[in-house]
Amino acid sequence: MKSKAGINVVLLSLLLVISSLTIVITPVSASKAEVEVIIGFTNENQASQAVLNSGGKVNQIYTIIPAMLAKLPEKAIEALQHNPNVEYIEPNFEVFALEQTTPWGIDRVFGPESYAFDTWTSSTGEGVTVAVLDTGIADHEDLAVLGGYNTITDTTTWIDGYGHGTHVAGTIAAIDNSIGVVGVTPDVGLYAVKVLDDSGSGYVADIIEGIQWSAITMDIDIISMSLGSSSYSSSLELACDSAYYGYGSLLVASAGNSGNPPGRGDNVGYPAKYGSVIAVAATDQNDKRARFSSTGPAVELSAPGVDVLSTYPGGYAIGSGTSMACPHVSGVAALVWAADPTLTNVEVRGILQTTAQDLGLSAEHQGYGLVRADAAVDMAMPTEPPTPVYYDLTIALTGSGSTDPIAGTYSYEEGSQVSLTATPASGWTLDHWQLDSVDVGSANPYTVTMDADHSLTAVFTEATQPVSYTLTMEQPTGSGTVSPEVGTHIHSEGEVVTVSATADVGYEFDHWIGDVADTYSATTTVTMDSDKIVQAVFTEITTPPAGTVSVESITYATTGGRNQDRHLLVTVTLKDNAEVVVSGASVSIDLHLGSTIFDSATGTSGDNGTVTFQYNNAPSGTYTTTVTNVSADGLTWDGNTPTNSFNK
Amino acid sequence: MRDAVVVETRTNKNKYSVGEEVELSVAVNNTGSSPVELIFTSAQRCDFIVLKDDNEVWHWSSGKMFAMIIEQLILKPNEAQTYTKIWKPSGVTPRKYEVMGIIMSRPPLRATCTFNLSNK
Repeated sequence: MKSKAGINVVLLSLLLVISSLTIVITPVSASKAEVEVIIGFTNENQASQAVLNSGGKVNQIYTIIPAMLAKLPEKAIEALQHNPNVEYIEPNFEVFALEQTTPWGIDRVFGPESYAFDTWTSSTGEGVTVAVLDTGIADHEDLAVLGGYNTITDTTTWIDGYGHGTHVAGTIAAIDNSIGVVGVTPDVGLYAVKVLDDSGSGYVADIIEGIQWSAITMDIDIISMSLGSSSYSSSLELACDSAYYGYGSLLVASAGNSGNPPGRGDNVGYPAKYGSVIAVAATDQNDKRARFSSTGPAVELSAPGVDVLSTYPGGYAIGSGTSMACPHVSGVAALVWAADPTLTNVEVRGILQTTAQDLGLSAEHQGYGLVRADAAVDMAMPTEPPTPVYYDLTIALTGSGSTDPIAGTYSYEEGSQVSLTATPASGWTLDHWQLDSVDVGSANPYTVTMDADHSLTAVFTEATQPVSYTLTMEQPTGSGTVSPEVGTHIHSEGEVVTVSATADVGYEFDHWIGDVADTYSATTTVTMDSDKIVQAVFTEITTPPAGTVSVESITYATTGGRNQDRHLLVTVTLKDNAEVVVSGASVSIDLHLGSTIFDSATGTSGDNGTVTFQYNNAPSGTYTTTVTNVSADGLTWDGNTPTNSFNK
Repeated sequence: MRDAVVVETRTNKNKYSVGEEVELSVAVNNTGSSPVELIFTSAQRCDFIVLKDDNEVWHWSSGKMFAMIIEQLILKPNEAQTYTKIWKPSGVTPRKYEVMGIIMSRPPLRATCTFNLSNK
């Protein structure tokens, strides 16, 4: 819990610091210093002329009082006071007390196009602490100091009797109110560590103790040191290293004012030059390196360091030096650290480097560039994880059937692929899906990609129209023809179609492929209860062994007599395996009358492959013939007698 | 104008006994007729180096650091500014010493003087 030190509100605001102080602001010589004064006169014209004669300028002549607002050289005031036309001359008091002024450097570190107010909506430094190791901090209306220490006297009297520490503190933390100035980080926790005496000089031992008090005793986040010398001190370096690497504090120091106008050489002082300390160079209002700003490889960041307005014991003052630049960086570091308190000191430093603005100067002059609070805080602000996006899928159906998932509205994460299945009721069919009023076909299941809200409707229709199916007659295997012919034929559902296969010569029908009634019957049927594909398979006839003779037939006839039935004729017909009649073959038969052999005979077949045996006056009865032998050149008889019988 | 600026280093005594403090002063005087401006690049105004045969025996600014602010000093005609520091010699040989006083302006201004340190 922060506690504010008592503030002695003494309104001693001065427009410009007058010559009583040796801390001289611009301009260079006292004779050129101009002051704004209110001059009460007895004679307006004469008094105005006197002002002009002294090199001054009349800005306004009041009508409410006999007085004018004038600006004239400071040196001329004393002489003018003795002018008989002048009643009184008083400084224009409390210019800064009327409203808050933003020093140009504060403005500058927030970027040329952005305003401190934008960055301050993200971070004002609250929760972060900074220790100003300096000449102390004076009680001031525009400063709130949480506490401090004096390492010179080892007491808690850290009041600033020199002014330097107060000025540095104001750049960091001057309060954002309606008076005075404002600092880079108005809500930071400010600590005064007096390590320099009231002439602005201090011992390394006291500075080390100040670092120790800040980093270890008080666990302060940022240690700001607008001090230095050209002499290296190993103990000071170790103290800085310990504070930075060991205790996690961030150390910022002035690079030094030992630079030469061309900016040559390495003249960065200590402690700025230690690796554990950020060395800050000074720039002016034109973003140029201040002529005095030290240069060298150790320069890390730049900040405004010329004509910097800030708090001062008793009022406000303008100062120049890397002393002024250093607190700008300390302040920005506080804003960054408050934006993300989980950062380490190393990470804060990295952000300052990464987001610094390149002024087009060499690294030895500007380091990484001008410190930029806007960009640095922006980088430090934690990014929020993206909120997952969800979309709605509304499932519906028309007609008779069901869907899976069932009709309703469902929420899916962006990018999900959702699969829907439609099941039509009996007698119904899925006609199509309607996706957001567009017919997208009847694929089932159907997949929707959730790239937006969608509605998907299954459209079922009644299956009332007569259904037809196709009968496809494939080209047969082997050689032959089919009926219906090869091709696609449309038939009504349920129709019974006759299919038949006729083999070519040398081939015989073997079987059907497909859903036919009798697979091995050359003529069969197909029932059209769905689309059918049918194919006939013909196989080549294998030739029987050459030279076979067989009895093709035995026929009977009668001739003679009054009824042409007196004599019996038995005709045997021979054929070979090529179905060619066999002539010149010897045929032997047994002719049976009833169950007894009536006769045995042998004959020779003629050109037509037949041999006829004639039996004159054969008795009546039932005759059967058995072939007992067939001999033909080059042919073998197969031994068969075809069934035969005759009643005479 | 630069020639009008005169720097002088003094000790408050010529001879010191071992154990005594030596008061060292360096003064810058504008002997000209126009104001002179001195620029200081830090809060350090002066420095003193006590030398024994060109070897540094004591250096006032050793172990010190300064506020890094640019400051100006304007000396009117015939105006001088003096800076004084104390040296407490300890464990040094009694003999004649040289001290260089430096006004730490840019550029720095130097002047030397001598004093004796003896036993007794």
